[in-house]
Amino acid sequence: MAKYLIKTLLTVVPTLFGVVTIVFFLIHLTPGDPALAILGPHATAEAVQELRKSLGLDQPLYIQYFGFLGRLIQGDLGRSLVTQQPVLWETLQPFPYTIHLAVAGILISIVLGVPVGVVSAVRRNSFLDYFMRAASISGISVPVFFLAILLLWIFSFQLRWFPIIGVGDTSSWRSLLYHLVLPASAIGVSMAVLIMRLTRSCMLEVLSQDYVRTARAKGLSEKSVIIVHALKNALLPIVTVIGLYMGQLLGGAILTETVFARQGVGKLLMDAIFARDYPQVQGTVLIFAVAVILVNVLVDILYRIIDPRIRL
Amino acid sequence: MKFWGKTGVAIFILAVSTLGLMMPAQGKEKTLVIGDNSTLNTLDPAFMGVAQDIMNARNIYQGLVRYKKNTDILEGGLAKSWTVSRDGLVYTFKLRDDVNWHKGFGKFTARDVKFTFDRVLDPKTGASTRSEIVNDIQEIRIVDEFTVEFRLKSPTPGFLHKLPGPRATAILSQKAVEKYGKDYGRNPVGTGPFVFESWTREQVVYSANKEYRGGPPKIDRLIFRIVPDIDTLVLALQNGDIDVVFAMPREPAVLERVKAAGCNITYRKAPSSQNLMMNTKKKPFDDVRVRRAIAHAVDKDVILKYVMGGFGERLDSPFPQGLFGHTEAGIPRYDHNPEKAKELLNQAGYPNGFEVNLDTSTSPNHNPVCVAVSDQLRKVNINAKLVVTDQATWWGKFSKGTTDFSTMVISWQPAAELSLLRFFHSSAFSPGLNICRYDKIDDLVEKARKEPNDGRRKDLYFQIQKQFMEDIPSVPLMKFFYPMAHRRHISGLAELDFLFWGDDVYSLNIGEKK
Repeated sequence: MAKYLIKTLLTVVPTLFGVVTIVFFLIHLTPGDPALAILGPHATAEAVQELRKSLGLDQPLYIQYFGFLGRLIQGDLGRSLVTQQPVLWETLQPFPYTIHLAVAGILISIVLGVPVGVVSAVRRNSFLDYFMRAASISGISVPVFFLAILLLWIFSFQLRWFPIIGVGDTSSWRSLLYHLVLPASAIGVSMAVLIMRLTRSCMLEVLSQDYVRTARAKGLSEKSVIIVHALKNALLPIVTVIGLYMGQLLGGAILTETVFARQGVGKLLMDAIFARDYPQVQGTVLIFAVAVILVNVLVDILYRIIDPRIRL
Repeated sequence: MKFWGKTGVAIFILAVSTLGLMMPAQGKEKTLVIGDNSTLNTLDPAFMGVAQDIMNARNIYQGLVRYKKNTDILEGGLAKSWTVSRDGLVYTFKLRDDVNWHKGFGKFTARDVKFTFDRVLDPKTGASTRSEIVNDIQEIRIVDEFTVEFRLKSPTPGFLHKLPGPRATAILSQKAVEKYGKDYGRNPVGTGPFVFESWTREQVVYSANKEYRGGPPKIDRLIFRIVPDIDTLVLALQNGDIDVVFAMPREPAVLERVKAAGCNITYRKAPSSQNLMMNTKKKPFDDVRVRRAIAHAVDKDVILKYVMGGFGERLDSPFPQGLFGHTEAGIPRYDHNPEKAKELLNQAGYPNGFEVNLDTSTSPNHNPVCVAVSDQLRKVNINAKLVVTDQATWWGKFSKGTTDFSTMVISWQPAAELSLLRFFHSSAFSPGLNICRYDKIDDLVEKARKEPNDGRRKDLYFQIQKQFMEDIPSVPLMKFFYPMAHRRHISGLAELDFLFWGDDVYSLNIGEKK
């Protein structure tokens, strides 16, 4: 375990270095000028020049790059060009709401996807199986933002059960949860169909193996065969996929966040890109990268718990 | 199966009971919610750029003067009265002595006025709005605690129109700016009717300033909500979660839906114009016959009616209706006439037309217009290829001077020469906004800038408009109307507003929410 952690740490540093370097050059080489984005289309030429100078954008790119790296090593992500606020604060402030959304979405997708997948596999080729598979195909075909708008329209607008916009009153967990139901469902449902299909195929594979037949032959109850013996072994790929989604969601819940007008880092990153807010883009991507790496470490540890044969 | 059945029921019960718990309690405070689909950047007037900054700041801050509602007439704001010296160089303002800063930052005095302007003018501040006043102000002198004197570099009759703010010239508290330093933009302190409370990426919240000189506002809280998805914004308005939207989409179906859900639609007849700019120094636009041909090829009425949903007015002068000195009589006019356009192209040596790039962004104010223009030009054999980029890239091309053909929205200041200087004067050549590289009205604009007499200024404006339409460096397409939507318990939104964005919430009539 200790060896694993040291190994991970050793790979994390070059990974992060690569991420910040690629992002730095990508965003700086994208056409567009933050000074103009800040000043708006009606800025005068002098204003643009002055602002470029005061933002340090008039210097050669490599000098800007080394300046950025130097500050980064000291833990300084800089200030947003647009809002003048520290990048770290700007990013961490909405981060909890993105995590809420990602975790709730994943939970819903597991609660929906795994049991349905198991049932589908166990009752293979039954009516239920066909129905679930058909439903999952349509689920995969519906983009998450459309599902989000649909949920919004039905449950918030027509039925008025749920609020339309925002994360709610941040001091009350009830309000936060209440506002989380629809967006998390949108993410959860669209992801559940994938997890369901994956669970089904993994289960089918496992169920056809000899040890399952042995377990049944020992006279174990069907419940224990399926849950203790089959599902546990089928879980490994499912956990991998969930880990991947989690990483993706932390940076990519942007469509859901946008539709439900939730504050979150996805929207923050998009705004920053459109405004060519270089430090903000770099900082946000760096924090994403750290989060994704952390999730991957967690997944690795989970592997070991699920399958003790795996040595970290 | 039994197991799954039980688990399913348990999950269902759990879910339903959690939902019951989560229903939030309703507040009793009187609140007004403004919705917009874009975020604001800062509440520090020295650094403001985008419309959302202005929508917010105008309710926090006051300038020395302000516009009387629905007019371009200036009246006292933080200044009670003012005088102008005979040579037009010295403006003396008598300030109100009964105004306090929000949040206990003390009394407003002349020191704050001088501090505000000096701060913007100081290059070390790096204020993005500095250029708006740097060419006008020589120095500012405190005469006494409530009198302040502005000395200008040259007589500028339009000077007062720069003072209503909120960009650059909204008055700030010296104490507050010094206390918050770089974080001032998130901790604004003003003298206006609403006091800043909090800011997240979702919303900005204000409370009523009970000490406001006109009496306390009619609402307790003002909330500016950021709803990035336009469909969600409209749904929230229909549901009553949002009370006012200042920038509505123009689709008639959307507006009808909103009306049916209990909202009124009004129009901001802002003096903003949409223009088709051409680089007069570059082929093929260097030939005036080509520019005239394009002016004849474009069908403004069709664009106005079908692309902009009728929200606007046809425009045949560089500056729009409602601005002092605007005229369309006695100056050249270009009606839709493809035959004439082809003939002009023929004379200019382009019998088979030509190919050109038309730069545009994804913005709904630009993209659909350019699509229509491109289609209309094809009928006179001009192949205008659309180059669509995001807003920042498109603006970047302006400053690099790599755009030769593009639409541009101009928001006109009440003294037209102030805007002409920024769009059609040689001092604004690339990297400035004069992407037409047009320099034929320089003298006239300079003269109008310094002319204190209204009659003579009007005459100069006439000459400017005539010369401009003859040279036609840019085809004025239309004056925009912006649809605004609001719940029916609110009324009194300004139709004409020279701060352009948002409204003074204090001046709205707000009844009981239905």
